[in-house]
Amino acid sequence: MDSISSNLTILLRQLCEELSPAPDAAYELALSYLTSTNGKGRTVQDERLLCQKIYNRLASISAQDADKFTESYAKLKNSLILKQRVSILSLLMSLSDTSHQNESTQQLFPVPNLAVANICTGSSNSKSTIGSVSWSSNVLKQGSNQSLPEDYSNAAIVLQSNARPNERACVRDAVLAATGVRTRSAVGVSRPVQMLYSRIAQLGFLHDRLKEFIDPSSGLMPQGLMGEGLVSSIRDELTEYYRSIALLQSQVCEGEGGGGTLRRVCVWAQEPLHRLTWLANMVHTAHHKKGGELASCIHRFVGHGDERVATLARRLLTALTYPLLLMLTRWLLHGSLVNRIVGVATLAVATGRQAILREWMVPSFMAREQAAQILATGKSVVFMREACADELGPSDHAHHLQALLKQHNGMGTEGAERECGRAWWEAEGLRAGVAAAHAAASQRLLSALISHHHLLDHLAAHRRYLLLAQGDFVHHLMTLLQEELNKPASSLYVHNLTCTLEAAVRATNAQFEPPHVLSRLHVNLYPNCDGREDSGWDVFALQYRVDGPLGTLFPATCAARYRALFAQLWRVKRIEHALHRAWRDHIILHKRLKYMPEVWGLMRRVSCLRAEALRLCGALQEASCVGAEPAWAELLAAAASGHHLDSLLRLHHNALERHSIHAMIHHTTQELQSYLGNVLNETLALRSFETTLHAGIRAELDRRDRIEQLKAEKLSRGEYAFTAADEVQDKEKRKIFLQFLANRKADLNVWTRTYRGHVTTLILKLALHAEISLQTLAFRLDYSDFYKRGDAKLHEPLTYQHKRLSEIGLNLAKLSLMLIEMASLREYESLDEEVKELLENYKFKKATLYEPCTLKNFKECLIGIYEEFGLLNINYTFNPQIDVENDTLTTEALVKLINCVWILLHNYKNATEKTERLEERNHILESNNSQLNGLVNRLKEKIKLEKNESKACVASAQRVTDHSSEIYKKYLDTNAKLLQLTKQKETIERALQTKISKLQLENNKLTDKLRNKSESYTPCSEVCDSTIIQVKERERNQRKVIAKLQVNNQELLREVLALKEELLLEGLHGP
Amino acid sequence: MTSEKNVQIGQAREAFQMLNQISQLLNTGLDQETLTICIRLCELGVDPESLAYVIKEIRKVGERETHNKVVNTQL
Repeated sequence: MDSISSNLTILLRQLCEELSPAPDAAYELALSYLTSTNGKGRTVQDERLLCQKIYNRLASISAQDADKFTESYAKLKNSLILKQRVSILSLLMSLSDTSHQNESTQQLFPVPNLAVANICTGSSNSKSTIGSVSWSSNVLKQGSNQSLPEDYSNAAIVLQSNARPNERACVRDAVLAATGVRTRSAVGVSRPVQMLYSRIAQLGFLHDRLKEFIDPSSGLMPQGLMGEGLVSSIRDELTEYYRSIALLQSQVCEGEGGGGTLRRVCVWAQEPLHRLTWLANMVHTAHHKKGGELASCIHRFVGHGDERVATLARRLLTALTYPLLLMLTRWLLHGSLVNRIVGVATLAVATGRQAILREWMVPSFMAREQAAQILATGKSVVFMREACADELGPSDHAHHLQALLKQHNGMGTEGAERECGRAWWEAEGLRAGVAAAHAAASQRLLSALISHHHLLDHLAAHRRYLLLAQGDFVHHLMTLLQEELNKPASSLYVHNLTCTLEAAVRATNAQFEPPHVLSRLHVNLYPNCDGREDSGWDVFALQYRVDGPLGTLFPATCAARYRALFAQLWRVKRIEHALHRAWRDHIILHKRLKYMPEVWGLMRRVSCLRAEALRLCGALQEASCVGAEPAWAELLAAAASGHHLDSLLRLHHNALERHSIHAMIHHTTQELQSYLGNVLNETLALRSFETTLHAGIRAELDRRDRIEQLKAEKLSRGEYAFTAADEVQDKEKRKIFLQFLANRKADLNVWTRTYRGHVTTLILKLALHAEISLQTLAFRLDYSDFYKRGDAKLHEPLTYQHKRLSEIGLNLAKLSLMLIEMASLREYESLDEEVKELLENYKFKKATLYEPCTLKNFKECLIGIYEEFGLLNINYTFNPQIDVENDTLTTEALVKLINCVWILLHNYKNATEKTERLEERNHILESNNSQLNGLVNRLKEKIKLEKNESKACVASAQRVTDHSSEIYKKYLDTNAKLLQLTKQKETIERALQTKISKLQLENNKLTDKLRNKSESYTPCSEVCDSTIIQVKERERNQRKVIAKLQVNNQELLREVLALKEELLLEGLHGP
Repeated sequence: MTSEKNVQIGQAREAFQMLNQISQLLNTGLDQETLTICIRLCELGVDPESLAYVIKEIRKVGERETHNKVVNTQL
C-alpha cells in the first residue's frame, strides 16, 4: 500500500512539473483535491455507454475521426495490458476539449444512402454496426422525416420492376466508368439513359486526367517539393474519391432489395464531377510549373467566386505550400536552405553568402517587398552566423514568427491536409510577423556590427583618411612626406613612410581616434607595372585594412574604389599644397626684390596665374566633397536609424559612386578624367616653372649682394670700389639675367596658352556632361565668363551656354515627369488590392489566355486563343457563330483547334531548344566578353597613360616650336640687317677705292713735283739758322718796343691819376 | 522469460499508441509524457473524474498566471 501511495505522489509530482510552471502550488492543489475526493464513492461507468458517448462526440465533428476511434478502440479492447481501461477512457473523455473547433477532414465526397429502406433499421443498430450508421447522419436527418423513405422505397420498387436487369448492369458499368475502367458502352439502351451514363463517365475522364498528372512516368508531374505537395494533396483527393466510389459500388451491388438507379448515381455524381473538373482545371494550369510559380497559379483560384472552388484551391495551396513554409521558417530562423536546386520558394542560393531573389518565383500571395524582407532576414541570420561567428541561441526574432510557427506545428501534427481556419499564407500575421522578424533581425545584426565591429567608426574613418576629410591630418602628413615623396618610387620604403604616418597621427587630431581605427590605417605603395619612372607621389597611398565580418561590407571592389578616389584626391591636394608652397617662396623672395624692378612684372604675372590655378584646384576639391555629401549623410542617417544591411551596403555603394563621379574617376566621366589630368599636369608644370624662376632670381640677387659686399670691403681697404673691369663684368651678368627673364617670360606665355586651353576643354566637357552637378561645376569654374571670353569654342551655340541651358531644361522636364509619375504612383497605391492585381497581371500579359476556362466563358477563351494564335502566326480561325452549336464546339472547329495546338507545341519545342542553345552560346559569349572587357580595360589604361604622355610631349613640342619661331624671326631680322650692312659696306668700299685711286694720282703728281723741286733744294739747317737769327733779332726789337710801351703806359697811368685828383678837388671846391 | 517480457512491452506500447491516438482525436491536449503519467495514475486506481478536474484546474491556474504576467508586462 505504501509503495502505491509513494508511487502516486511521485507520479503526481511529475504530472505537476509537466503541466505547470509552478509545480509546488499545483502539487498542493492536486493533492488536496484528490485526498478530499478520495473517500467518495466512485461512479463506475459503463464501458459501452462511454464508448458511445465518445463516438457521438467525435462523429459530431467528423465521421473519419469516429471511424478512427472505433478502430483504435477495438485494438485497445484486445490488448490485456490495461487494467483500468474504462477509467483512462473516461479521463480522456472528460479532458476532451470541444471548445476548440478544429475543422477536420470533411466528407469530401458524401455518399448518399442508396438503399433507402435501411435507414430505419440503422439508427437502432447495435454497437457492432456503428460504422454504417454514420453515413446517414451527414446526409439525411433521420427521425424527423420518417415518412419520406417510404415514398422513396416505393419509387425504387417501381423502377426495379420496370427495367431491372438492364438498369442494374448499367449502374454497375457507370460506377466502374467513374473510376476510369473501360467498360462496354451501354448499347441498346434508351437515349436518356445514355445521356446519364455519359455524364457519369465524364468522371472517369477527369479521373484519368488527374491520374495521369500524379503519375511520375507521364512526365506531367510538377517538379520540386511544392510540386510533390500538390501531387500528394491530389492523391488524397483521389483516395477520398475512391473511397466514396467503393462505398457506392458496395451499395449498388449489395442492396438486392434497394439498389440505386442510374439517375440517383447521376445525382450523386454532380458533386464529384464539379470537384474533379476544378481539380483537373487547376492541374492543367499547373503543368510544367514549379516553385513559387506553381503556388501563384493555384493561388489564382483562391479568389474564385464559387465557395467550393475557393475551398478546394485553398486546401491544395495549403498542402503544396507546406514545404515552402518549412523552408521559410528554416531560412528565417537558421538561415539554412534545404533545397536550393529546386529554388522553389522565393529564394535561390547561388554560392556561399549570396542569395538571389527570383522575381517570377515569388508566389502571388506574397508581396514583393515581403519576399525581399524574407530574403534580407535570412541573409542577416546567415551573416550573423557565418561572418560574425555569432552563436545563435534562440533568435530573438523568433517570437515574431510565433503565430506562424504555431499554426505550422499544429498542421504538422494534425496532418497537412487539414485546414485550420485560415492557412498560413493568407493569415494576417504573416505580413506583420515577417516585417517584425525582419526588423528585429536587421536591428540585431546592425547593432552587433555597430557595437562589436564599430561599423560607424570604420565608415567615418574611411571618409576621414581615405577621402581626406580630416584636413589637419592630411595637411600635416603631406608636409612631412614632401621631401620623401619627391624621390623616385624605387627608393621608397613602406616602413619609413609608416613612421612618418605615425608621426602625423601623433601630431594631429587623429591621435584621438579609437585604437581599432588607428591600427587599421596603413601606408602602402602601389608601383606601376609598366616600368615607368614614377615619383613617390604616384605610388603612395593610404590604406585602411578591414577584415572579418567587415570584409563583407568593404569588399575588395570597395577597397579598389577607395584607392582610386584616394589617388585622385591626393593628387589634387598635393598640387594645391605645392602651389601654396610656391606662394610661400614667392612671398619670402618678394621682400628681397625691392631693388630689382625688372622682375616685378613677371612675378606679378606668375602669382596671378598661380592664384588662377589654385582657385581651380579648390573648386575641384570642393566639388568632389560637396557633391557626395548628401549621399554620405543619407548613409549615416540610415546606419543610425537601423536600416537593414542590404540597404546600408547599397547606400555606401551609392555614396562611393557619387564621390567618384564628382572626383571624375567614374566610368561615366572617363573623358573628363583625362582632361582633368592634363589640367593637373599643367598646374604641376607651373610649380616647377616657378621653382626655376625663383632659383634664377635668387642667384642673381645673391650675386648682387656679393658685389655689394665686395664693394664695401674694397672701400674699407681704401681701394677703388668699382673698377671698370668689374663694371663690364656686372653689365655682362645683368645682360644674361635679363635674357633669362625674357626666356622665362616666353615660357610663361606658352604655359598660359596651354593651361588655358586645357581648362577651357575641361569646362566645355564638364558643361556637356549629363551629370547636373558637374554642369554646375563648369559654371562655377567659369562664373565670370573669363575662359569663355578667351576661347571661341565656348562661344559657339549648341556647345556651351546653349547646351548648358538646354540640358538644365531637359533635366527639369525629366524631373517634372518624374513628379507626375510619382503622383500617379500614389494614386496607384490607393487603388484596391484587386484592381492592383489586375493591373499587375495586365502588365505581365497573363490576364486573358490563362484565365481558367469554364463552360460559361469558353467562347471568350476560344476567341482569346484565336487572337493569341494570330499573334503567334498560327492559322486558327474561330467563329463563334459557326463553330459553336448549342454551347458545344463542332468537330471541325475542334480539329482546327487541335491542329493549331499541335503546331503550337511544335513551335514551343523548337523555341525551347533554341533558347537552350542560345543560353549556352550566351554563356560562352559572356565569359568571352568578360575576358575581353578585362583586356579592353587594361588597354584603355595603357592608352590613357600614353595619351597623357603624348600630350605632355605635344605641349613641350609646342613650346619648342614657339621658341624656334621666335628665333627664326630674329634670324630673319638679322639677315635683313646683314644684307643692308653688306650693301653699305660695298658702297663704302667703292667710295674708298675711288678715293684711293684719286689719292694715288695725287701722290704721283706730288712725287713728280718733288722730283722737280729736288733740283732747287737748299739744306734745311741753313734756312733754319738764318730764320732763327732773324727771329731772335725780331724778338729783341719787340722786347724793346714792349719796354718803351710799358714806360709810356706807366706815364699815362700817372697822368690819369693826377687828372682824377684834380677832378676830385675841383668837385670839392666847385659847390 | 525475456520473450514474454518483450511481448508484454510490445503490447503495452501498442496500447499506449492507441490511447495516444484517442487522446489526440479527443483533443485532450495531453502530450506523450503527461499521458503516460495519467495512464499510470489511472492504473494505480486514481479516480479519473477528479484527476481530470485536477488537470484542468492546474491548466487554468497556469493560464491565469501567464495572463497576469502579460498584463503586468503590458502595464
